[in-house]
Amino acid sequence: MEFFDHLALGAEVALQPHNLFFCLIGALVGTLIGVLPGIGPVATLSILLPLTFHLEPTSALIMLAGIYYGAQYGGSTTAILVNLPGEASSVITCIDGYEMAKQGRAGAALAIAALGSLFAGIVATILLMLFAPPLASIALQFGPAEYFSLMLLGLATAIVLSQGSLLRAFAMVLMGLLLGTIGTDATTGAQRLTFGMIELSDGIDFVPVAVGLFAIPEIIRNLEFPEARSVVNTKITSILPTREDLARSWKAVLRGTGIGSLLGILPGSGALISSFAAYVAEKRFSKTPDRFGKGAIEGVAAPEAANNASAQMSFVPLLTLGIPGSATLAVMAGAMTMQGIRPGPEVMTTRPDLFWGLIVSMFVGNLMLVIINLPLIGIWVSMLKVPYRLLYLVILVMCCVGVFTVNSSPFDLVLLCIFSLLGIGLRKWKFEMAPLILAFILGPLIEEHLRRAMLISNGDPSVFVTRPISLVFLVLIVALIGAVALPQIRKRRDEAVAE
Amino acid sequence: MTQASETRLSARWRGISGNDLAAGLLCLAIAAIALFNVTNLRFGTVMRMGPGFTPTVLSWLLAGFGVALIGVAVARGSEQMEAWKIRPMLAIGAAILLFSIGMQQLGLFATTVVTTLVGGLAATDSRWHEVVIMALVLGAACHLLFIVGLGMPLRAMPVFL
Repeated sequence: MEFFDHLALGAEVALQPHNLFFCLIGALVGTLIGVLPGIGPVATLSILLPLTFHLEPTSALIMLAGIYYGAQYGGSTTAILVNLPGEASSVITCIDGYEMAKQGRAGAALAIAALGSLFAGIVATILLMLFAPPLASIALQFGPAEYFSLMLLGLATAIVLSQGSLLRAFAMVLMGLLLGTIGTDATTGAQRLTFGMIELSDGIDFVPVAVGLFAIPEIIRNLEFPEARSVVNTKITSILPTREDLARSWKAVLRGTGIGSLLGILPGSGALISSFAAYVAEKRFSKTPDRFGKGAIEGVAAPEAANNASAQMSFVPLLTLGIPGSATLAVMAGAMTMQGIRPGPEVMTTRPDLFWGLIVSMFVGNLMLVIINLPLIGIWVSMLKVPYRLLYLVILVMCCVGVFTVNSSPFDLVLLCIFSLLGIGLRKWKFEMAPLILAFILGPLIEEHLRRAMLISNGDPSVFVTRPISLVFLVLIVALIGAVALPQIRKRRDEAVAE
Repeated sequence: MTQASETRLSARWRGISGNDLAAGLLCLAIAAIALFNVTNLRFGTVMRMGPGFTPTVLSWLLAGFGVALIGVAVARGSEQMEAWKIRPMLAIGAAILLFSIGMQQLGLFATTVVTTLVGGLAATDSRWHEVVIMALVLGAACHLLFIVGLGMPLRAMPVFL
């Protein structure tokens, strides 16, 4: 069967000693940044990107992917033990996980979080293996019009699913697209928005943008509002969940996996949305909803399974359509491009070793993560005791070295400063960064496909609605935006009337 | 910013949401900068888009959203704004720029030390002896990891040595 051929091919690549090694490194680094609040996967992947230039593409991607899903595991540790989300996607786990820890059941919570994530990771990776080939073969028939509409759909989902105001999310997408136009125009060679600076003629690299918008403002915020970190003061006696814990949580894990897999495949959604949806669903379907918030193990199991499933499934749009669904995946796309691999449906046929190797490495990585997270939990807890006044210095230096080494360009650090300032302002004025970085990465592709589509259709814009697949995407965009915009308008009108 | 100055600020902006106003003005400012710098580019037609087409359209859209945000600012009414703390921003900014200058002259070890020392000024609870130790440790770690371990083509030692 084809499935097993792919599995065998992937295993051959992923189980090579050096790839196992990079998978382990990725899982370790991922767990570390997951555990430590204040540095997330977007910034970490950007910073470590230059280090992967010297690796062969498969190893590089295996490691970077490990960092991404490893962070989902590590994030739960901090959420349960410190009541702080180590990763944005584990915000939900704090609610019941920390309660459990206070009741002396931290071990059970950690175990269920890790085992639930393992199950979800494996199921989602199998789904990824099943879904990727048919999706890629559909995608091979896409023309520029379809790609244009599909990428717009990705941006629309990012807008709709971002928290806070729609206007701001739209503005962030436009800013990202505008930043993406900086540099030499691909078709005409004209200098666009370079302000006469030779350094800008190749466009802005996404590493200073991502580090500037995500990592540095996070440092500044943590210095402005120092958070008291108190690791729960109970000894973790047993990491074995009780029979009752297992009985309560296995269905929650199943549902969480389902929700996470479904939401993860949508471009523009993220692990946070998945874990939130899983928690809400669990609470709604529970016979005893009042236990939630007071240490219900389902409240840990479902969101943790969901965020890991979603993290794995979000590779589907990137690997089959070439469209990164979230800011983190956008960095992965950047990594592929820098390695000379254009993300898209062709990867599966031109580089099957890389494609299936990467996917099978996810099985391996998920297994490693359970070992890294459960028996070695003590190490990660002691990491949490490093005071932030020392930790931020390490993050700062890593940011500087990471940004500098991309092009060995001092100018990139000036850009880093500019984008840090922008990022600080955007955060204070309640903008969300993810839509910006996604738009920044997709922008040049969108423009290229738009131009090509218009050339092919002789300037007739109706090509986007006459081609059926493109039309479906556009209808989805309208439906999505409409569904979210209308209640807001209605609500505001109601508020105005009430006054 | 202190509590008192925050209250004064919100009093001055009574009736307008400062966050929305700032957000809107930022959009307008970025749109304006972009529009002034794309005037020399050919706009083209829908069929044959010039290099100026996309940035111009995007800038006008962004400006539109800026205006809408200012509208929201007026409609929503006053809202608490977050204060800006100058010290961490200055220290981190200076640390990054010093890294940029240092890498051309001083080499990785010395640059990392300088960046860490200046970055250490950002936290109010820093202890100087800790910062000095961190600076030396990070400098050595970077040298070992990036130059010795990964063999990256970075300057290791200051130019004058």
